[in-house]
Amino acid sequence: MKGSPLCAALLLSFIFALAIVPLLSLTHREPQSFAASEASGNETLIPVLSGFVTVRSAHPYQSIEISRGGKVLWQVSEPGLEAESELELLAQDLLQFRVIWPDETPETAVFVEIEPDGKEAFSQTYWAVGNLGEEIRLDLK
Amino acid sequence: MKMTFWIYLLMTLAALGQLKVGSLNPIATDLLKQVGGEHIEVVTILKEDQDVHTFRPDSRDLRKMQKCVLIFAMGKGLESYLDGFEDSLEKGQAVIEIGKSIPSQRVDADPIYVCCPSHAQGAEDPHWWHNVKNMERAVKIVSRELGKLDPDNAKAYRSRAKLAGARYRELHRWVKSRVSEIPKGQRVLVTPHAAFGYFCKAYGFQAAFVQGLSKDGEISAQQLAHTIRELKEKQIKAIFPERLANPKALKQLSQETGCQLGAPLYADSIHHDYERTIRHNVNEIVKALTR
Ligand SMILES: [Zn+2]
Repeated sequence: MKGSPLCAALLLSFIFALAIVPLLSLTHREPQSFAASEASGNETLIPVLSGFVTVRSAHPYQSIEISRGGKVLWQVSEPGLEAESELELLAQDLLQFRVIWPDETPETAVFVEIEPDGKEAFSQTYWAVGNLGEEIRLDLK
Repeated sequence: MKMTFWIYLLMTLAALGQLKVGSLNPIATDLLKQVGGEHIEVVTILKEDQDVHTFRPDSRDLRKMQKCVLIFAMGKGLESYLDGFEDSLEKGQAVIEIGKSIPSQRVDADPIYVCCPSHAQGAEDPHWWHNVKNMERAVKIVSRELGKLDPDNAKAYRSRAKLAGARYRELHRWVKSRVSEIPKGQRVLVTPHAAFGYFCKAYGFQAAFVQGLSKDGEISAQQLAHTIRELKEKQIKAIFPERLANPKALKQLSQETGCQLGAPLYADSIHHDYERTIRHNVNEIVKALTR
């Protein structure tokens, strides 16, 4: 059976029209990263640098949390061995880093790396049993 | 006939769903393909055999880039034409300099060994990809930027970036382990062009430069004698000339100093892909310095 060329062309045009709508919305979206944050005022109150955080644990953790002055910035509550995320950092930052492991987990090592854009990474390996609470001080000036 | 039609249709649809992303360098293209996979189409303008330091996009290149919302550059001044290039872009188009988010090193070499006038002694060194650890960060940057532009696929970009990051972590470990085969006192990398500063710092080499290894220009008998003296004094085991460097001068250098002639290294260009480029360079360095 040979399909009619007209039918094929119509079908193709229809599918093309369907596909073009999401495509247009994709290519015409204003990229968010270029809306520079022009927040003014107290410089120490606003995030100044983008960055990444990576955590790798030798034994599966139960949860990870990074907070600043009681405000949670990043939380992982799904058990795993490795997690990473983007993180907004202050020029001078003090972060609380907390990891909890399930009961019966032996003493284990956990590696944390924070990579502020354009700056050297902070990385550290900690050892803990059951849970870890550490302060991470960053000077990114 | 029917089959061909459906294949054509599927290919058209696949191409329509892809985001067009520009790349100004083959290494950025490699990064984009790894992170973007089937979700993006990468349009590259610099070919593998073009000199990254002297390349200037022509009107055809600019037209190709007009179709891309986001264009990735290596940054840190590697694309010296970038300011004018950005002026030629239309509203809604933007350039992401991957290198901007990578920690910088400064060029540390006598002016005659720098790659081009804009990368003189003390300037920001643009060759950041020679430290594989920096590529691990680069995939995250690419994933972040693609995810902002195309949130529907952000999760896919993140998971592809994670896999690529793990491959680079493994490659970084492999480089360290290969380099450890070279006795510590012999970890001196002699090249004609100050392109390996990041490599040397990351993997514990001392960078050194001598005349006569470069492909451009003749070397005088006096310069050659000076180079020979220098190599002997520093007890250099191997030198890594550029492709097309003067074979007569190289032969004399090697005969009079006993230096091994290492194979040319990829300083600015790429050998098939990033990983194979690094493996080639490291294998050649280890081979020549452990002989
Ligand atoms: Zn170069």
